[in-house]
Amino acid sequence: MLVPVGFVVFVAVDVGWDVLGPLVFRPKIGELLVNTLLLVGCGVPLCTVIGVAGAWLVERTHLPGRSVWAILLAAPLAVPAFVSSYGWVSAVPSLGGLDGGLLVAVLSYYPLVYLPVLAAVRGLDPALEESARSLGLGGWAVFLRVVLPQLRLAIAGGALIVALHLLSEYGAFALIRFDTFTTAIVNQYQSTFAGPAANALGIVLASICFVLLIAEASMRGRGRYARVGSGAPRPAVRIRLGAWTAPVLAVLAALAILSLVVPGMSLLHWLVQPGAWDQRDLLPAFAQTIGLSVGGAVAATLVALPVAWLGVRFPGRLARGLEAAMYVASSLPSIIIALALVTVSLRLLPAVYQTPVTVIAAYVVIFLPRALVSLRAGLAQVPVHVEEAARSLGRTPLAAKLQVTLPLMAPAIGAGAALVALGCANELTATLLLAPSRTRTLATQFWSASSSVDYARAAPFGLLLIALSIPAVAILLANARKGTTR
Amino acid sequence: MTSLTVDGITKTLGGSRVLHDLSFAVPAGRRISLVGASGSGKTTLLRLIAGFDRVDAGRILLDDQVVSSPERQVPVHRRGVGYVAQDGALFPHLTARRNIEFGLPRGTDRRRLAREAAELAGLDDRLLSRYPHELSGGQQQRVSLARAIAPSPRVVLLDEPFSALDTGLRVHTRQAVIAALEQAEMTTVLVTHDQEEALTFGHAVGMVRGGVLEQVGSPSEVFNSPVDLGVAEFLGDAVTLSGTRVGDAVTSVLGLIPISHDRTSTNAAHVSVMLRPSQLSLTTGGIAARFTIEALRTAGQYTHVTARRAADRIVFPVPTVVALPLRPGDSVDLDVNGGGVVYDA
Repeated sequence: MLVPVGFVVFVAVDVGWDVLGPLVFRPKIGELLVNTLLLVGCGVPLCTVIGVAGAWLVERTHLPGRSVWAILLAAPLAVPAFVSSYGWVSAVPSLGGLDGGLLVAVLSYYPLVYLPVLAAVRGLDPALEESARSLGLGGWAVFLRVVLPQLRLAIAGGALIVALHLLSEYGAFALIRFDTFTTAIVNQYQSTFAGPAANALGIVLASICFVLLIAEASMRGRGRYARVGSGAPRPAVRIRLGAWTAPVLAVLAALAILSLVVPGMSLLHWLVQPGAWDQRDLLPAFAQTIGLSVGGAVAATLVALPVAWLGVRFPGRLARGLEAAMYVASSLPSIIIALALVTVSLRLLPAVYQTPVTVIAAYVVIFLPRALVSLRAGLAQVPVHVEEAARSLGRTPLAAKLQVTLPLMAPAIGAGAALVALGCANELTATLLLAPSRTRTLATQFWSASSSVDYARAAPFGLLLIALSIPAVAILLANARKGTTR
Repeated sequence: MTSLTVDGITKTLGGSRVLHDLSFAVPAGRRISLVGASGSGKTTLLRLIAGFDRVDAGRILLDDQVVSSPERQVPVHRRGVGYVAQDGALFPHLTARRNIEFGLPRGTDRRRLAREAAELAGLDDRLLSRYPHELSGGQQQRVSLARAIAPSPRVVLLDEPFSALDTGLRVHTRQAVIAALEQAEMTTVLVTHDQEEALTFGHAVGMVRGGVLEQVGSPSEVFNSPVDLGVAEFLGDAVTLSGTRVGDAVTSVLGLIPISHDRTSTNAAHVSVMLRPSQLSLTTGGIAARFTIEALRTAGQYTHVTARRAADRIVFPVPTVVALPLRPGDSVDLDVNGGGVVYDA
């Protein structure tokens, strides 16, 4: 898991400052840095505002049709960013630059803030707000001084994920011709084949990631965010929007149109063009996508299982360190992870270079947290007493785990594996770099056609990618609507 | 039937000593309750007997077999203990019947043995097809007990199994469990923080405090002659008075009280004498000891009466029905029935 982190350090040391310095401090890097920072600096606040407002509206107001809006606000997550970008660029060919990048990115990624905040809002204890009101605070003051601080972890976590996605996204920005570090790295890699320039860019990108990770960790603070009192919490009282109902509905409708209808209509338009479905590689691409995704899901689950076990049953420095390493590694842009695996496989394990093994290894590094979070939650719900009871009834430690704990964890294992598999199915950047030359996945075929402006040929792949993503979004939304208290 | 011997065990967890040189024995087929406050180490003790943790010093024997010592640890699954956890720890993915059958060896008539264990635990056959979440708290605990006793374990360990139940259900379930264990003649260890439960459950009661077994004996012995005032007050309401020893009695604000048990370590004249409130009878118009009622505080079935005589003040509970006619300022007389336990003042 630490291969990508080690790779960044290794490259910096191996290449040396004499080579790296001129590569880092050149006008092109400055331009990319400005683009990337503007993208993150504008995109993250916009996603946060939309995500928080959306969660608040569906959970705490009498918004008409709020259960439908709850789904519609999460739905853009089912449209991979590069498919959304394709929809926009094929509908509005002049779209490009920072404006275009921001539009596509915000519409694709705001649900990453919306979902955790939705879960956090559901977990809020309304008694705290009532106490604040009884102490003389008005509605806005309660929101700013009581509610918002309790949502801080969810907002910071969601914002971090958005920022990391913005840093690592390749397909969406390449399609609308907006240069970021990631698009530049892929371009460098494809032209110079893992040359020092690509690695230098990678170091800068990884450094930005580390800064973001540290910033998010420092924001968590020492406060406790779980409900402290005993007894069952009451449901919160919803606010009437009154005269604001119509404007709010108009904004939400505009958001749904921009994030779902425009890419959707564009996709439909290309789907009905002649030749769209007349492709021989549609089924093989689907089969290979399923094969690689299932492989990634199984491998990630097997790696995550002992880590989750350690984290839940034996929490301590070792477990925390191990988990942290996994989160840090997976938070690196997939292009860095891919470059690391290319370097390692070429230097140390040439037999696995450009084989499904490296692709699956990359999937494990990238998507492991999805499996880990799910397994951890599942295992935490199996009381250790149950396993002890099995042991007192004559089962060996392994038999107790297999016969009692594992069946009880099955739904969590299934959900985690499904989320990993669906992430793998949509993964583009690492797959492009690492897959064997004859590999055809839905994402790579979509990319190949759309980057050649063959939008009709790309459309069926895009449709299948969306269809594959829907179950993952349904799982995420269901989890968020269960509510959490952290 | 198997006897249990706990011989001088010591256990340290996270740098602090949880149990210290703790010893007791349970004859085959008998029941012992270990009572103590939260954090006294009683659950740790149960886990050591079960084999979930290792002892640092001392031994645990089932009959003559050492199952725990610093050198030897028989694994839980080979130890033959039935364990009933506080929450029942039923397997949520299995029906009640499958839960009970879980510990029964292959090749046996599991269905029949499970039914017999269920009957013993007072479980209706119709409940056995239900999943744990479809059972009430009391039913869940009975399934848990049936599961524990079905494989005929050498020892049954009960970790506060009734604490999650409401009062009425707790008494009912406790009686059912005692009847089942009595019939199965199982050697049993119960840990609890409820003194009433401890005193009614076992043939013997052990008081655990700060990781030390302060006293062990029959319920009446421990209740009527606690080793110190702390144990006395933990096991039930106590009225403590100061007095002066006069031969086999103590003179006190309540007059001359015979000494039933002497727990003093010296022959000092000044002593404390402990009485149970049930030994006090409250009358009006008598001559035994005239007190003035200062305050009355009703707590359901009992009312705590604060009574004063000159500089002496005593607080004791009386049945609320007895206290109903009383008002602050009333004069009452208190008689003492039986003797008191004396301790160093």
